[in-house]
Amino acid sequence: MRKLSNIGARSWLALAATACLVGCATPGPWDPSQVSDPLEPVNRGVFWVNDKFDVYMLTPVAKGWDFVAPDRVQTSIANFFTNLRFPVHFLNDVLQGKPVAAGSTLARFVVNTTAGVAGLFDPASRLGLARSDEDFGQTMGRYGVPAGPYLVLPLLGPSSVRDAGGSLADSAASVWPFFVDTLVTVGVRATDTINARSRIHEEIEEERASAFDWYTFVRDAYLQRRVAQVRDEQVEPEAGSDAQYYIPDEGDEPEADADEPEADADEPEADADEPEADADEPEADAPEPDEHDDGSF
Amino acid sequence: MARSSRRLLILSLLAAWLAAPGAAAASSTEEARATVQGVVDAVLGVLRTPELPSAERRTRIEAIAYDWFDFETMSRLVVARGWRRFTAEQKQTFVTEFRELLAARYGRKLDSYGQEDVAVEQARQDAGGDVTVRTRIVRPGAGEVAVDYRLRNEGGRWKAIDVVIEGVSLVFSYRGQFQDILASKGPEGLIERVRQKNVGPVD
Repeated sequence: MRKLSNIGARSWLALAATACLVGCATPGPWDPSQVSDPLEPVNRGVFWVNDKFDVYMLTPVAKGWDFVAPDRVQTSIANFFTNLRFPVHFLNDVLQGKPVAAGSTLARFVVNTTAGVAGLFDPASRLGLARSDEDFGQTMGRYGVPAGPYLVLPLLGPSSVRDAGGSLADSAASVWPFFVDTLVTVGVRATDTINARSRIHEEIEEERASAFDWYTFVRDAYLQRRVAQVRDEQVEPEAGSDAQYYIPDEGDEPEADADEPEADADEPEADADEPEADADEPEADAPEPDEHDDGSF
Repeated sequence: MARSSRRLLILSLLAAWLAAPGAAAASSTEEARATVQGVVDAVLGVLRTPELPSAERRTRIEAIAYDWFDFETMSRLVVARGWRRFTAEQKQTFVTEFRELLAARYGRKLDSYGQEDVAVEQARQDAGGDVTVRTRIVRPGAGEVAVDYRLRNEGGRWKAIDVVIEGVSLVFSYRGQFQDILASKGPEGLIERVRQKNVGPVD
């Protein structure tokens, strides 16, 4: 009996250790060939509706608010909502095993709630207490859960299967909605959204105007940003996967060729045949199969 | 005696051999960092000269940017595998148009310069020889933005081949958007689209 439970305990420990080995490993840098968007037609539809809502409803209101509200007021409101997200950041700092970040998050909440007048001001930043942006989506990513297919949620915008689940958990962890009326919650969310939108409407309009494909631009930017957040780009310089920075040009770059097979080994899907085609057949025909891949991409 | 001194020799050779790549890497990250610092200083120097007329300011910044960015490599990375389908002439045209696209997009932002400061932080060496340098734009009262530059050594000079803002790479943003255009319209069609953006009403 004792032996049995001993084995049980040991295998449990081994399992936990393995989970940590797998889980604690930082995921790889951004690699465009990993974009997964099987629901693209549906996503594009939802994106279109969201975009129209943004252009005709949200932006005019946000612009009006940006016009009447001084920058200081906008910043204070943003600070207030950031402070309310304390439980989410704190919990996820803890879940990701970051005691320093968790301590800093806790101290920020205490300082900004008291000295910062219920979070309207941000004296904690002046004290050098670092902000945390951790959420459940990132925590899952940290433990090896892949983002899964890209999703565009109605009104909420870009997400992924993993991050949509994470957002649900985040809402559950934000304690305050439980204490107030639904109508108040909706009003508060609207205020938060309009205020946040009002601070960046110029940038958004500029990006929209300069994009070649607004949907693809937003999708790729969102997915890249999430990879960087999971990898904690605040700590390390962040660029894409190294292999993606060496594109062999008609086979005249021996060092680039040497890099490509590595990329093959990592991603056996879709991408695998492209570098091979590059390396083996430098003729003009090679791009043809690419075109198909690119179309579905 | 002889044996132990030989062992010492072998050990020290081994140590030197082990240390060499590390030393080389350290010096190239240092070089790359210094290059970024130089560019940042030059750009901030121009931005912080309020008596300069806006057009002159833009001309000077463009001169710095044209020297510092490797637009050929950026174009090749943006187009990626499709680059082989371009003729030499198309490549040249594309590089010129793409450079103009970036100049227009970022040039417009120069006038909105506030009191931002730029801190050049650590650099990281990657296996292929590139170095990524982290910089941080510090905006008074509005938080910080992480901007990373990926640098490649071209004939002894470190040149920027990508800009990564808060984890979002310029090269990959355009690559994703250009792939579909290239697949359906070919090199000439892609060049035409970029040209239209450059001449057309941008905002």
